[in-house]
Amino acid sequence: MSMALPPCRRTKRCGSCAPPEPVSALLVQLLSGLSGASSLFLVAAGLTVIFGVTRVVNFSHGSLTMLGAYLGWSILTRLPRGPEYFVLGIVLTALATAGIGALIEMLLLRRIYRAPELLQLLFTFGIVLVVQDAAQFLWGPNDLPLPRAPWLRSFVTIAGERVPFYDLVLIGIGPLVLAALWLLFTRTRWGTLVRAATQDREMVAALGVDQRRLFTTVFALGAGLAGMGGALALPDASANLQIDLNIITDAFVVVVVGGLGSLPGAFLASLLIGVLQSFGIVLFPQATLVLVFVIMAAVLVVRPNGLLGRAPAVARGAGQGFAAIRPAVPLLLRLGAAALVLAVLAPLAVGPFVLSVMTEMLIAMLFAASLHFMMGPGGMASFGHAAWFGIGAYAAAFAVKGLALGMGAGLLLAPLLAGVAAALFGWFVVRLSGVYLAMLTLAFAQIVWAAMFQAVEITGGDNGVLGVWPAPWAADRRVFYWLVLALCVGATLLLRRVLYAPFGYALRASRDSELRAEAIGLDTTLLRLAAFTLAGAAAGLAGGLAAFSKGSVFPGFISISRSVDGLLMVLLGGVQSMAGPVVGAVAYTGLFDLLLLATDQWRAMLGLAIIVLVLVFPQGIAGSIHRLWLRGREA
Amino acid sequence: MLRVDALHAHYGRAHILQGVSFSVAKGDALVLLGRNGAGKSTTFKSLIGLVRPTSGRIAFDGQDIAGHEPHVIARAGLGYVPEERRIFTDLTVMENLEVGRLPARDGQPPWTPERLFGIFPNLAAMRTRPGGRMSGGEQQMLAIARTLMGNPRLILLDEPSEGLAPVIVEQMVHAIRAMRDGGVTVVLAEQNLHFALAVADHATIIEKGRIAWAGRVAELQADAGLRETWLAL
Amino acid sequence: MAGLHKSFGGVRAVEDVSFEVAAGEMLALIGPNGAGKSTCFNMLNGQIRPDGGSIRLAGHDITGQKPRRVARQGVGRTFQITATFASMTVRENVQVALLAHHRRIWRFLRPAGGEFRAEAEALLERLDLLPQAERAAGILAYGDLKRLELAVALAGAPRLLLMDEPTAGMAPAERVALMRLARTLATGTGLAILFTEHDMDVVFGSADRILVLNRGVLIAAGNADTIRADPGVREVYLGSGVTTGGH
Repeated sequence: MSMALPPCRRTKRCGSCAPPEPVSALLVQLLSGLSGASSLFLVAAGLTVIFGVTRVVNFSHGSLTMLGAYLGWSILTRLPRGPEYFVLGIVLTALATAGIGALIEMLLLRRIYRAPELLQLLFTFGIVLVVQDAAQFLWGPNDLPLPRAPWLRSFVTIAGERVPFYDLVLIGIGPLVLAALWLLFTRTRWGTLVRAATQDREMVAALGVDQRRLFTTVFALGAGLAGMGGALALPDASANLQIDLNIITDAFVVVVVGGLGSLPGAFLASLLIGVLQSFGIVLFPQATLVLVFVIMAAVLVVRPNGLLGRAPAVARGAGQGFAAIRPAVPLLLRLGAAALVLAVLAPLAVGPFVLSVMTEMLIAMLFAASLHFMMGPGGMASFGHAAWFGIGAYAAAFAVKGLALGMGAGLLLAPLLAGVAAALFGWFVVRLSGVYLAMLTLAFAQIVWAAMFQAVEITGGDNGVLGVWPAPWAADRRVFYWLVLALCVGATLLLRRVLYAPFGYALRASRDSELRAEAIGLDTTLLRLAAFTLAGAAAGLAGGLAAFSKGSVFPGFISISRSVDGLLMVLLGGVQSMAGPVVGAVAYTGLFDLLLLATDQWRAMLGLAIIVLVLVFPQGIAGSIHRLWLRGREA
Repeated sequence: MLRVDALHAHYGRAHILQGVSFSVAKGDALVLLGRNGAGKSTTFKSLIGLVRPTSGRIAFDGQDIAGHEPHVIARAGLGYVPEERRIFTDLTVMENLEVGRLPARDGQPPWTPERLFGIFPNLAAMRTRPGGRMSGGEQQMLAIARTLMGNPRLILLDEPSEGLAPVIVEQMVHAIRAMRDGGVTVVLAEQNLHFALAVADHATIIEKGRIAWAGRVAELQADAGLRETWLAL
Repeated sequence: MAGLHKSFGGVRAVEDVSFEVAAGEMLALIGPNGAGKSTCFNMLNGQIRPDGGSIRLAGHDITGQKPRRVARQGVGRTFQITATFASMTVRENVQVALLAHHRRIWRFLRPAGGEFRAEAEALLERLDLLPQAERAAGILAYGDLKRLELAVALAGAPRLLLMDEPTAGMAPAERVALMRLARTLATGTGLAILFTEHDMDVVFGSADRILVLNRGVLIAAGNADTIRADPGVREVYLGSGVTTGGH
């Protein structure tokens, strides 16, 4: 999947078009930042409200914003151009997206509230993919700018500066919506019930409240806010297919910085991020996205739960037991050994195409195994594991092309740099858990992606780095395959061994009960950081190998879909054993690469596949099969 | 009022309830006794619908409520106070009570905050205090008051004395008596035998998901051997 | 062991509380809910930083140190809601505690299954858990879990053991057995034990000395008879005895 930066939004996030005069435009810049913050706040507020009650991190929230932009475009271009019709159009758009949200909740999300967090995230990511193809089908692939009515183009003069009138309108809308939401949540019975359900929905049900209706209305409210945010941004930007993932990353950052579940926090954080982004363009045009990371890092260092957030309470019913990780049974070990022998002998028997698929499978195996190490024993479900893979790939490419070193140096630098980056990012990440951690890792991966995208001098931007070929001695596809086999299997086995060493015991202990682990003298933060770093380095090695295997590196190496690929592999195979990710990687690479990617609508196909898989196996594929097997044995 | 017949329930693969049967008459107070893990809490959760029973009948006021949604059961007049109290810590006392409010029932004067403050005077002084800033005893009282706001005809109290100071437990005895005077049928699960004996007329002992003994509280009080056998006292 | 002194000022939850526990002594801390017992415990093992006052363990100042530092100085604890490693076996639970105690955690390649195996099994034997050694902690019965937690706490060879409501939720017979074991440990190894408890039979039956806390202030201290007879304690905590079997 390829993604591009949002097209120039006139004053925001624009590094390439002519920046305004730095000093004299200070006020304009500030107001522009504040106005951008408003629509960001609407989206983030919807996200945080939906999460609060349903405990689902709604990845598809950005898709609702995108739908809001497209619907808003369709509605506004059909209405007369007066301000009163603009307001009408925005309200209609908000109602329409609220309706779509209610439908999504009733038809889809309602069925997965009891599923594990990660599957919920994957599920809503499936919706993202489907909506993307649907939007492209309905509105076409081109950006749709809104023809701007005269009043939308008017300026107001403040302190000698011409300020767009619409910016001022947006600046006013943010606090108005915040006040309206605050009244809704504190002054109405519905709001009281929602706040109660945020804390303990089971208890609310036991007191006679119909949760289903509550959830649907909350989801509709959140979706309406998202749609309104999308439509309100139209005059400054356009309706386009990149809105969904761009806005969801920003919204995740806002929600984490503001404190999950805190509306005033989301408001403050959107102001902070909006204004800083706006100034960042002037001050560091090449590093706006890195700036977002720096802000987030700074806030989380001082306040680990966000500006106005509180320590996440353990959600009711969330204390699911982890199955013990057990060494494989002898049969499985023998099967593994046999598979290894076959894999070693394979190049003598198969053609180049199969060999390249097998190479890809091996790399996927190490990638999945490193993610599993973090997720399973480490208890840290990362949604941005592609970051380390991508850093590894770029490190390898840089070693070969930038430093003119050989493949060996590239393969050494790949895990090393990825490990160092993982250690740096991990320092923030390992203090969090659950969805916080998933969101933050995702945001980090997006930022790494953007950094690689923006650092054109080093990475070539969207054009990537080409000509990253293996050393002459490994130029033969078969020799390279054997190298990949040795490194991937070796690293995977090493991870397995660490798991059964004292470090692995301590890591699992920290995951099971942080309280108890600290009480026996374990430094849980450091343990988790070490695991994070190890997993990052292993993923980096996989990325380095991928770079040499493909001969090139693109920002797509760090895309969200690659992170999701890894998650699918791990979940497909099962989290409970080290064999899981190995089996999952092989199955996933074989199936999805060969079958799904051959079609044009692969996004929609993959999305539907994810949705159906989660609906049919809400407890995870491996878990469901395990249960079926047990039931079969009992019968 | 409530009749439970051969109730079975599972938690994952564990067969927790293996045929629990008991009944309680209108206006009566029944105590379920038994050690930790015997199945008392699971029985209550099955009654209110938080755990879906695998088989068995639950007749409440003549209608079968087994397997219904919790909010349907609660609206039918079954109130539930969980063992962990589950106060909404972010909400004030008054807001907690508001969440529990359900329409009044025919032939029963509705519970209002003012009426409840009569039974739980401690709460009256802290109407706007968030639930999270209350002591364990105050939270327990609020949990009961919150459930009473739904005007239940029968209330399930899961270990209302657990973790409370003896002096608070004494207040709880008075509160339960006041509830019964208000026409509410009471079923409670307890480990504290002294407390149970002070508030209930009938007792049922659960052991490993089955009914081990049922009878009047007075019999239990008189029979030390019985207590020794089933409650290890 | 020199004993323990601490006092707090400023915090409303606990105000200016001072006491000592001697080696081999069993000291009970009782009081109404919200009196500050858990706050005291959490300050003692480092989960909460006191706003004022000091905590000294055998002469060393451990005030405000993090839980893992406090643990390494020799303070073990059990929690009101048991905290064990659910996915690991009973034996592994104790092994990881022993590994932590002996600072052998940062080893990445050596299989851990054989490390401190004998020591772990000896400890489990002592707590009557050896038959359960290979079961996952997550599926243990409640009473077994409480004893496992105690085994994990003891694996750190503590000088002071904090037990937060050690017998809550246990059957009466189990309660007696557990407190008898605690007594053996105290007299046998010189372990100092501080515990909270709501079961007055347990408190009066096993504590050498009892402290009563109310609204963050110590209101009484002494042996069982002194406390039982104290009118202040009766008023704020013990009540008339209807629900505790009478005293």
